Amino acid sequence: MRATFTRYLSRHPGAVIGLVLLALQIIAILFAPWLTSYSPVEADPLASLEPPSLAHWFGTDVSGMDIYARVIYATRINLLISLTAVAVAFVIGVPVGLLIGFYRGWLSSLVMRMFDFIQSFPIFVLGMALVSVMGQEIWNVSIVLAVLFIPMFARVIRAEVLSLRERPFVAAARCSGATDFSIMFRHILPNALTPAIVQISISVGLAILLTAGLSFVGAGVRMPTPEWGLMVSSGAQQMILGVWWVSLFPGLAIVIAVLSFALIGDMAKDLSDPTMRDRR
Amino acid sequence: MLGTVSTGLLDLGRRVLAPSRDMAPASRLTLSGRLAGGVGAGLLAALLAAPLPAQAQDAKTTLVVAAPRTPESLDQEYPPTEAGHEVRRNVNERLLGYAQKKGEDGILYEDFTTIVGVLAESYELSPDKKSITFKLRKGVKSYNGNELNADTVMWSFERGWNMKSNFHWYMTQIFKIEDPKVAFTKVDDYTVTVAIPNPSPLLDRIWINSDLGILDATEVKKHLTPEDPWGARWLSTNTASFGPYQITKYTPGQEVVYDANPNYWRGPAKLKRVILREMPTSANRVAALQAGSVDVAEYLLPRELALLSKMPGVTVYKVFGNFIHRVEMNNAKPPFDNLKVRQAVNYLVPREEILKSVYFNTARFTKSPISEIYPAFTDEYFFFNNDPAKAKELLKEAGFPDGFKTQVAYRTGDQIEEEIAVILKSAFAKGGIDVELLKLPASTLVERYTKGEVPMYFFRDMAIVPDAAYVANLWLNSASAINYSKFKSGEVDALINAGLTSTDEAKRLVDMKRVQQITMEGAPWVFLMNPGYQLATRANVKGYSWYTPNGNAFYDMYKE
Repeated sequence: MRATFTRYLSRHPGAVIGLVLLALQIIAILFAPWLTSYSPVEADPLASLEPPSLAHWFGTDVSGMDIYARVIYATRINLLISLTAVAVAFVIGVPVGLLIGFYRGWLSSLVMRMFDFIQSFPIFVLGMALVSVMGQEIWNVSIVLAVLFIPMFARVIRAEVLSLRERPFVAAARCSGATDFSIMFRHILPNALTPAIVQISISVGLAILLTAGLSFVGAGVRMPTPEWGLMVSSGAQQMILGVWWVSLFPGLAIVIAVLSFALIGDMAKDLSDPTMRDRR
Repeated sequence: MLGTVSTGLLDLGRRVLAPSRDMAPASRLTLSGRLAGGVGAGLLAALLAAPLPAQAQDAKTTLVVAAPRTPESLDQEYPPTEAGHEVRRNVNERLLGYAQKKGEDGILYEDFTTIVGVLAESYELSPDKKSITFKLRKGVKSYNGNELNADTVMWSFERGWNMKSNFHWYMTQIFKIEDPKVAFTKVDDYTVTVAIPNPSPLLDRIWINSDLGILDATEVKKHLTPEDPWGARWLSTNTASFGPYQITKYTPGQEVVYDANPNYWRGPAKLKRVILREMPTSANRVAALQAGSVDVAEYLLPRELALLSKMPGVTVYKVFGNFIHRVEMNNAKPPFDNLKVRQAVNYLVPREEILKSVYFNTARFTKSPISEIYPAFTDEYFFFNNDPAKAKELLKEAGFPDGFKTQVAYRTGDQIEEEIAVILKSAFAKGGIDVELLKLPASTLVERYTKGEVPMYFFRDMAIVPDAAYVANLWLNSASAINYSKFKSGEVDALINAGLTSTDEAKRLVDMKRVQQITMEGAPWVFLMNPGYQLATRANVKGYSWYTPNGNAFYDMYKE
């Protein structure tokens, strides 16, 4: 297994880049207080809009807050929101998808129509509306994203289950006296999980973009919370004055985060796909 | 734009006709072909160029203004807003006005010491200051060609009274009128009298307010219905008065078009048309002004104005103004019902830093609830410096040794308020006060502080009557509807009420100083800045003048 993984990495530099970028984010999350001496939320009005320098590596924003410190600390907020949302969506979406795929009745149809309803709205617009109703708090943004992602995971699992439940190994398990619960969780779920695992990295990337987007339009977290989208938004006003650094660095952080999860998603897909075995 | 296109075609015509050396080798055209092409291009260019003088004329008489928002309503009875004040100033003509004087900066200002007739040719105050008689100008016509007379004025009064909004507020709160039938009298076709129960030092100058414009009753009456007997619906989207402009197109959220009143009694405006476009983001207004696609950009950030003032082709006007920008506290609810808490938060404000980093040194500290340019202003009672130790001591005495949690609300899209809010959050933390910043749409913010639902909120306002008693009555009288901070002092109420009826100017001056002293000690607000008023225009826009409602008076402006 380890040899396969090492061989894969040696043949796919994109995956290496993805892992390195992810490692950088993990370092930022774990060691933020040691990576900067500045507070990410303390204003220093007399240091307003200072360009990048040795004192402030990424410059300062309008309130004199150090952008490097805010970018580093924002990794915690953005990934916390995104990973929590995806984890909740996975934990709820997977069993729901399993159940509605295994039992095909009116309840299953009703749940599917509910998912259709949720997914018929543009995801960003629905996210804005829900956050506005629930309040602009970190946990509310996370919950809203989880609600939006649950149908994605449930659909992926359901599609797999619909195919697996007709397979001979399921019939064999049933003949040997296995209960529905046992068939679902012991026999079908392990075989249906791969696409959902691949979906995780795609969803994390999407969650990062949605979190940043919501904050950019003023529907996400509140000032002065260090959050990438909020920082890009507050810097956008200054671009016309030639102040490029306020938006650029958090913008790059978004790119890095989304790119890393996209590359890791590709890697997870390749490693779990039997047809790709020869190309690993 | 068309001018640029046709100039380019003229140039093309010249180049085709000219036996240019660098063209000859490349060209395969015969001389006749070149001539034909040249004549064709020349003719086309001449055709396009022909309207140029007219376009140049249009460009000179049309002003394009970039504003943060279009007015919420065109009715002068709608609650006053900055955008609404600008409409009133340009559309609704008043009975009286101040004379104008040129400041040292070349800008025209109101001379608060000299009142002149506007729609009233003259006026007469009774010796006891309990009645005023207006002699109306004859031959004054509205945009629609209807003539001003006493009936028009009386109908405007009647409508204002029955709408129970702005006009009614002035008449009942300032003049204490109870019975309109006794108060308003038509003496003859061109004479109207207003009689009030008590003497008022404001009996003449109140009529300068653009909230009290005289409407073109003949025109408005055409649009009355049994359900809408005072034309509230029609006047919310249309205008009819005797001012220099009429609004001919009103698309809320997009555009307002003012067309000059050809019958205006002072002569038609130099700017025949003013187009006001809504551009909510100030950076977009800056970009539009830089590009020359607008002539005027309103309400820009100090940082942007600093940039523009160095830019050729742009003029930045900076006037002292009368705005007061503050954070109001709900004085009726804990913890801000405690005087020591209110004083403590004032000691936590880093005013110097805010002045430098947010206002680029263009503002002044608010040292009184009265604007510095108004009579009776004094700053001798301002004592709040940035002293976190003193603040902590006061909080301890108030029973909050570890501080407390609270909220500060500000308007979505207001960059200055957001910048100050972030600074205040850090500054208040030094006293142990944990502030949550609430960014709310303007309408939600107003609704919530009106109901007393937000403990602290940003508030920017100006009083348009240059009189200390009037200003204090607006914000500090416990009976005032817009005393949102719910500041209550029996002595202040009594002094204000006396000031509104006393004609003894020396005593009023003393009383109003005492009001300022009590207010500063009572610290009902977090005193921040008087930001002044600034306007950026293209350099060829001249004639800028400043009035107390701050909006632009397009009649005074012209383009070179």
